[in-house]
Amino acid sequence: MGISETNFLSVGLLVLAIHFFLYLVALRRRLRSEAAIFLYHLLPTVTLCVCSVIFVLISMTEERIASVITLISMNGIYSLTFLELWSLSQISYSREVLVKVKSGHLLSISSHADDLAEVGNKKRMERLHSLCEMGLLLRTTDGYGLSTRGKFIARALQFLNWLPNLKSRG
Amino acid sequence: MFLFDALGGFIGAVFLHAIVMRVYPAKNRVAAFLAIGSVIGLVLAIILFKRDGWITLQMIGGLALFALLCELYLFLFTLALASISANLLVVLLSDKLDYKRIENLYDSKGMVEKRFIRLISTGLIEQKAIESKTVGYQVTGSGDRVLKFLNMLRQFFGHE
Repeated sequence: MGISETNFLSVGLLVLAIHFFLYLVALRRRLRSEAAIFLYHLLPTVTLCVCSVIFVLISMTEERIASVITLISMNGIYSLTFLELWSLSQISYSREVLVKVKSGHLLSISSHADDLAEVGNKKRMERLHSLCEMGLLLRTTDGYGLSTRGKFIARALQFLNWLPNLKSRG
Repeated sequence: MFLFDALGGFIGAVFLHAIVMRVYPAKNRVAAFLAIGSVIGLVLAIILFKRDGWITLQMIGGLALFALLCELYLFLFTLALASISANLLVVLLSDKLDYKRIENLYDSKGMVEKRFIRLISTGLIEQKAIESKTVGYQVTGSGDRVLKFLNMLRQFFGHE
């Protein structure tokens, strides 16, 4: 009845292609903030998820479930890759170090790192501010503490450090 | 069903990676996970092909789900490794931080040193010696390629 699994998948992938093309030709210079680019990716994700649920509920066959899983996975891979590359190119600290070393401004780790220490300091303050805004940190009179949501995320991160045996961080 | 095969493959990859990282803690974690994920992905493709046939929706769905989970895991553990925000949250789990302790714990020069050491260990920068005396550091060939790639991305996304 109605649309076939292959057609559903093809239409979904076409939506993703149009999403990327639209960014490429019209929105590249307009979507500059993290929130804007995140919302731009959240919109098709929510739309495709809702359509997928409806599509499966109409008739639940293994082929339908497979086409929906394929589409949602492709959407996830596309958005995750896009957002990772977007934020990596915007705020990479490693890039700052590479630029400084290449331009010859950074001759040794300890004696000429003041410029980068300043970058690191600025980043730390920006991050503290955004963690407070997201409701993960609570500002107290003498410093910072974790909110309930912050504690949950911190425990998840601690587990992620333990799993692949991460020792040196930061 | 393909869903359980993909989930099983992913859990297997994470488990195997955890063991390998405990046996060889100095190995590159991302490269190790990519290698383990590729092998398990190949095994998964063979299993799905044998059961569901060549290029079926079930086969594509299983492989796509496995790839998404692997990418998500890579993203999350590299975030836990390198993100300043993630590290602040983990440090705060053990105690409240007053302003002075944040300064000491996350002293900016320490952050630069850590990143510097990581860039050296991944071969992106190296020591530069003149007349056998170490005078500083330089970007390696692969570091230069990474920098070009990041600059290209900055242009593409309109960050410059």
